[in-house]
Amino acid sequence: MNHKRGFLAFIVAFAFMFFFGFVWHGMLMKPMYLATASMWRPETDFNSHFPILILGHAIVAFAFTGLYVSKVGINSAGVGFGYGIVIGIFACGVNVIRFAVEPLTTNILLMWFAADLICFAIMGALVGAIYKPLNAA
Amino acid sequence: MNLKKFFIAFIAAFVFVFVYEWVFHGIILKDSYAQMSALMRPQAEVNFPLLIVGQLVGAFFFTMIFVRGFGSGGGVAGGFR
Repeated sequence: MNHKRGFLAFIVAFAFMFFFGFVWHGMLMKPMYLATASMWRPETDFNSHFPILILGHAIVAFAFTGLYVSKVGINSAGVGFGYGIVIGIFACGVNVIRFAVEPLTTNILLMWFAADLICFAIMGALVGAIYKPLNAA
Repeated sequence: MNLKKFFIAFIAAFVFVFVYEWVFHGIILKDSYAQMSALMRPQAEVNFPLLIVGQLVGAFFFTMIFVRGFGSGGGVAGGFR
């Protein structure tokens, strides 16, 4: 395992995921969240939980990169893209379960589907493009 | 890929997830969810078929990831590495 490349891929995956989440959830979906404000933490409460949001991103990026590095381990943006789509669909299953038990709107569910598929696919492409196994590095 | 074994593993994963989530979320955490009922659908509005679909999707792709990427064995440590 190429730890140096793996760590670099993890940092890039984390940074992309954070930036994507900020644009998608913080800007694009902001009106949808405001329309369902009673379901979410108020702004000040959210801000006080911001470190936990960062921690969650770091955990997902670490697991996502670690799984690719240890089980796929190929230097290919295309393979990474496909890997990301698989993880994205897995995440969509979780969104469906949440929709079944939480009073989310259909628009929020569809936007979460799109977010997970796009975010993980691009994350996978980035990780696949950056990671090189030791014998190929 | 051994499709027959894959299918059996997928069904076993789905059944386990269904039972586990029912016990964990439906029994153990029931009181906690009741205290935050504004954030949950009322019992009558819970979309059970969609819940099953979500669990099926999760179990299918969980199994697929295992089958595709964890063929080298090595027990618990092998799966974790």
